[in-house]
Amino acid sequence: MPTVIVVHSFRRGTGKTSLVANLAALLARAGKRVGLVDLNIESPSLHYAFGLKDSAITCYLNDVLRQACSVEQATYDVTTSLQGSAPGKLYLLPASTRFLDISMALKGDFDSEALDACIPELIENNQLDIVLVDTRAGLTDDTLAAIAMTDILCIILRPDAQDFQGTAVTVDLARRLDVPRLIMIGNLVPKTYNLAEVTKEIETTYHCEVAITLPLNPDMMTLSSADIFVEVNPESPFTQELKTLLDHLIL
Amino acid sequence: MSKIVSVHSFRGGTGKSNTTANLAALLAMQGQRVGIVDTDIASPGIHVLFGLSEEDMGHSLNDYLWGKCSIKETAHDVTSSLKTGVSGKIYLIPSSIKAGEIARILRESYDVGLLNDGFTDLIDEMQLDILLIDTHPGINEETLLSIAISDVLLVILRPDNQDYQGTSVTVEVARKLDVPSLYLIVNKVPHVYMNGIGPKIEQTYNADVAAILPHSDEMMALASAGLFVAQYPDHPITAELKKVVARILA
Ligand SMILES: Nc1ncnc2c1ncn2[C@@H]1O[C@H](COP(=O)(O)OP(=O)(O)OP(=O)(O)O)[C@@H](O)[C@H]1O
Ligand SMILES: Nc1ncnc2c1ncn2[C@@H]1O[C@H](COP(=O)(O)OP(=O)(O)O)[C@@H](O)[C@H]1O
Ligand SMILES: [Mg+2]
Ligand SMILES: [Mg+2]
Repeated sequence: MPTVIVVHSFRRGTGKTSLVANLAALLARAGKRVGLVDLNIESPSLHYAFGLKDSAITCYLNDVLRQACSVEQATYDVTTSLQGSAPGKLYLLPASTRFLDISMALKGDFDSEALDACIPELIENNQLDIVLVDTRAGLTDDTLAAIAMTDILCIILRPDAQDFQGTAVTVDLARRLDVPRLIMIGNLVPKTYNLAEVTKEIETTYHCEVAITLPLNPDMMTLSSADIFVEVNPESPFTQELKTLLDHLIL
Repeated sequence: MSKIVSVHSFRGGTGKSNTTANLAALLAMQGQRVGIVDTDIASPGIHVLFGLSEEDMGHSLNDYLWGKCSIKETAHDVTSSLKTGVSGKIYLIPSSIKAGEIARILRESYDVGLLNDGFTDLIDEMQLDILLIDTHPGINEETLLSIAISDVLLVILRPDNQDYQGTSVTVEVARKLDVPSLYLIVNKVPHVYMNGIGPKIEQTYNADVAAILPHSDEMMALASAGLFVAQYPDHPITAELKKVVARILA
């Protein structure tokens, strides 16, 4: 059974896209056939992480959702963005960065049925093992639709008072939607903090499973947006941490 | 004469809410009566910096937009969060933090004109000198409105490529809307880049840079749990923010 994992955060800039890109790279290295869906219709950037340029894209997820093209037409094989060869596969459904598409996506009613139909089709077309869905921050209709259909919901937060309070809203909602598995991830923790204490604080605040708490990694901050950390630094302890997270997710 | 100041950034997490809250604090320390409206209805948060909890929230901006109350009833006096006595005032209009209310207002949308009326009424009724608007990132209808009615627009950006394209669009839009004063604030600047970044950014966007704020471990450690300028009155970030205050009051 293929697994759908939605990565979300109440606040912006928590590291959703970075996490999705890095997990995807690790999964493809482990031989998995991975689907990637950029549901951040407000500020899409997942395709940049895989070096896919807008000029190379003819159909976007936006077009699929408004029934202007097929899922297949909007699917891009980005496996070659990995260094050397990987035993797995990466198939990406990008979201449009065009100003008009963004305003339209933000204004229009989100068609959750179209999304519900699109992900199984992506799985079917490419015989996927796993689908990772990147979302936008905040409690919008598109995110609710994704949360309602996922097998695993990963909620990311930073150790910031605004994150802590806002995230309670998302956790509450995920519980009401009966998400099969809810996982919290702490990220961007400053070096002056104790990681274990942050993990504990997340646990006691939300009574949820905390899969991992990741430090603020200065090398990641200076990485250009077209590079994936685990690809550039396969031996780094941070990469090891992400592998641990992966084991946690797919076991 | 009262002034409307919008604080905007193209991307999220640039530091809008922290900057807005700290500017409000500095303005109140100078005796100004300040209002803050949190128009980031999808992921509100500035109330946290003033220690306003969900239970204390009472009426929010959402209630006003749904016609449940007047704008005045949504104004929370948060001046005391500054601890030290100040001669000015800070009134915060928070956005709801209840899941159902956030989902509802995003789904049903709201009358942007009503928001505009609310700003004007608020300035009149609370006798505000300055109204600060903490906006939703990106360019959407509410943002365009708040930019259009601003006397001063502060655009916050981080010195990285991801911010570049979007920030240019914002600056362009502001010019088309004839905003009287437009300033850039560069935030989270790594220490190694501090030198010479100001002129470079001014040249790139052809706009004035009002402040350059270094990436600060103290700010990170504070983690939105309070007002930086009150805790670190002598910090370089506080000094830079005072420059912004001088520009706002000019
Ligand atoms: N653990 C980390 N250490 C250091 N930098 C990180 C870490 N995680 C993410 N980042 C950096 O933080 C920034 C924001 O990350 P990213 O774009 O993935 O966030 P996001 O949640 O997708 O944002 P948005 O809500 O705008 O979509 C990026 O510059 C990224 O490289
Ligand atoms: N100069 C800075 N140095 C370090 N951290 C900062 C700085 N400015 C803001 N931050 C941190 O960045 C995060 C996002 O700030 P916030 O004001 O909430 O941004 P926004 O309102 O634009 O989403 C917060 O955790 C805040 O503490
Ligand atoms: Mg993202
Ligand atoms: Mg904010």
